[in-house]
Amino acid sequence: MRFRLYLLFIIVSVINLIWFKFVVAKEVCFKCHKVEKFKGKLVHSPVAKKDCEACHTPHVSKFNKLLIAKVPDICYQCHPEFLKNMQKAEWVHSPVEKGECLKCHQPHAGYRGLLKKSEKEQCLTCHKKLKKESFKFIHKPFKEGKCHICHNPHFSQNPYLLKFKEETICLNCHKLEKIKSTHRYYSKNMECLSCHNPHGSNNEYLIKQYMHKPYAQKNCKVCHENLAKGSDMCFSCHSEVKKDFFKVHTHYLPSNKKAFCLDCHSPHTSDYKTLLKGSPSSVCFKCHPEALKQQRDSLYVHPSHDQCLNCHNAHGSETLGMLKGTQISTCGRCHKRHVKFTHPIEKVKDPRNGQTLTCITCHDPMGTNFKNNLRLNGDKELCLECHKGY
Amino acid sequence: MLRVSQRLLIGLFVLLIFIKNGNCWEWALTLNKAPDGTNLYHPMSAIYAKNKFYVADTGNSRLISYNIKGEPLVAVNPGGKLKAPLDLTFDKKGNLWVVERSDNMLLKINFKEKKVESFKLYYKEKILFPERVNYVGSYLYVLDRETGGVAFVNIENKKPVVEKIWIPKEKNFSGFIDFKVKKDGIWALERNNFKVFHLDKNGKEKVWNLPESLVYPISIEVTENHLLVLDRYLRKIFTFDLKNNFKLAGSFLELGWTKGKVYLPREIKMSPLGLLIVDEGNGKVEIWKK
Repeated sequence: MRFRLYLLFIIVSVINLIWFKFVVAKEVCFKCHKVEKFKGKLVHSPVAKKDCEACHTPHVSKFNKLLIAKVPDICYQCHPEFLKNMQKAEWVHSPVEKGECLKCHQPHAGYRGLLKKSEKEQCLTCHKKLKKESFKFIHKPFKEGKCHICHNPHFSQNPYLLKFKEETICLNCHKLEKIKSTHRYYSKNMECLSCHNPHGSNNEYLIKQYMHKPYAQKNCKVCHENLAKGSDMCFSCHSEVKKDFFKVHTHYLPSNKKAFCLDCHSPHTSDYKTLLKGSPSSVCFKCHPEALKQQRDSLYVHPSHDQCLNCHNAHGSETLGMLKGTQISTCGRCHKRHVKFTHPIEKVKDPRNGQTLTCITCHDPMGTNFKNNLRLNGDKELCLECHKGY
Repeated sequence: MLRVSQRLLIGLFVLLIFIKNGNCWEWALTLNKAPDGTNLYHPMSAIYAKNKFYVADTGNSRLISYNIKGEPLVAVNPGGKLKAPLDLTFDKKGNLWVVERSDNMLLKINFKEKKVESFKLYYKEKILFPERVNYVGSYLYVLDRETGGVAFVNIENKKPVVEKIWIPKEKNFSGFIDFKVKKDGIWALERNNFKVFHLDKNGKEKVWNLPESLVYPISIEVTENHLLVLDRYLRKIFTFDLKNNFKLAGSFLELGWTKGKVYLPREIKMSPLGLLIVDEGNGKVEIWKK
């Protein structure tokens, strides 16, 4: 008799638990949190199943929004493959790298891909420069706001988070035969993006804004049938540039197969007056990951960090860091008042190493964790480096 | 009496100190002044030869010698031809070879005869672009930025002749940034691609990938058992065990502006008196000993 009672008690308890977990718990959240708020074009699968406890704990939590773990760890619990693939990727979108999933995604319901806004709006939230561009001719996927046709929003093995290599991505939509027929000097390794702007242009066929003079004159022979090889081909016209490379700090690089000039410059067209292949930062960061690392690891970064050529001479310089002039004159071009009225510089020596005191003795414009780009805490630590007696 | 747990803690502490200083590299000497008391400015290279240290004080367009105590002896600019001396080496006849960047020349300085000769290096109709030099055995080895490789220069005749250039067969080779000539061949560090190459005397090449945790490897040195890699951004020298599959054995050095610290290190070079660390940013050369 007693055994039967025990058995009945266990059965009732189990039924209760199941009923609570799958019926009551699912509904109880929505007594306070309105169901309408969890509706959208796409609903996150745990939300659709009303399984709030997949992410939230109903009572107490160490994490914001009563989450059972912090973002992005909680996301990776159900998306482990994502984490694995991200770790293998060559290029990772900055918010993804920082684990800021919620910067783009809505955890309950949202637009396609659970985005907070429509795809185009979402991307342009950060990529503001593209928003400002007003092109006469616009690439169809960009016009339609379908960034994902060319880009992978999370990570990629290719620069610019392209889905495929630069040389092949265009061939997904544009037929090779047609390309061959319109490009006289077509070669296998041709980079479409060196002439065409993939978003838009004011020139027909999305040809970039600035053109190399021989290209604009359709005088292809100047380069393509030039007897000089490597960088000498470029220097045969741009002789005045060559001497810029005979500096202590120089970007003179090997030219075994092609002119090293083409590492940074496009021989045909560009969106930049100096015919750079991309924005100054994207061109420079390709070989200078340390600049990108410092930017990402720092709380305070110079506002012109991405405008490398504002301060640096791209060809060569006698000054450390390939600056355009001396440290003081480089900073002084913008910080005019500060250079004249500041802690003594130029004529004073740094007691730590005997070097002339300049702006960069105390500041590091590339990025630091202290206000005003100071190298150390400006409240005390930095000053005490030299003023030991205070 | 100490309890067992206290003894264990002390033991652990001692072990930690031992592990931390496992490499046992310590600061020994600093070369930072010229005989006239002025400071070095952006030095780019240093060597030890004939019981003296020689420094290319690039920013001040001069060469300075020091005795083994680190006291400056002489500062020279032979014939006033130095504007931007990058690197230097002595040949077996006692001539000093200097890379002069301002006119892309190699200078041969004969101190006895007070004679300075300038040479351009040619190879297959190309003018080379020297960056570093190192005379070992019968060749003057030159790191050339034009090809990215290491040129073997015969200096036995009146004019130096480039006999061959070692350019690795590796795909997408981006050029060397530093090299060292050792008994077992040439060791070289590739720019950007985080690779270390070795060319043995039979012409056989080997390649190793450096860990991606490095940011800006700029110079290498090879000792009997270790490969040392200087990272300019991290301000650290990483040591890799050559006999244990390039396993990271440790690191030393740190960012700073005082003795024993570096700001923008440029080069490391082993000498019988220790490891020379050229710090362009702090305007000094430090000698570290094990």
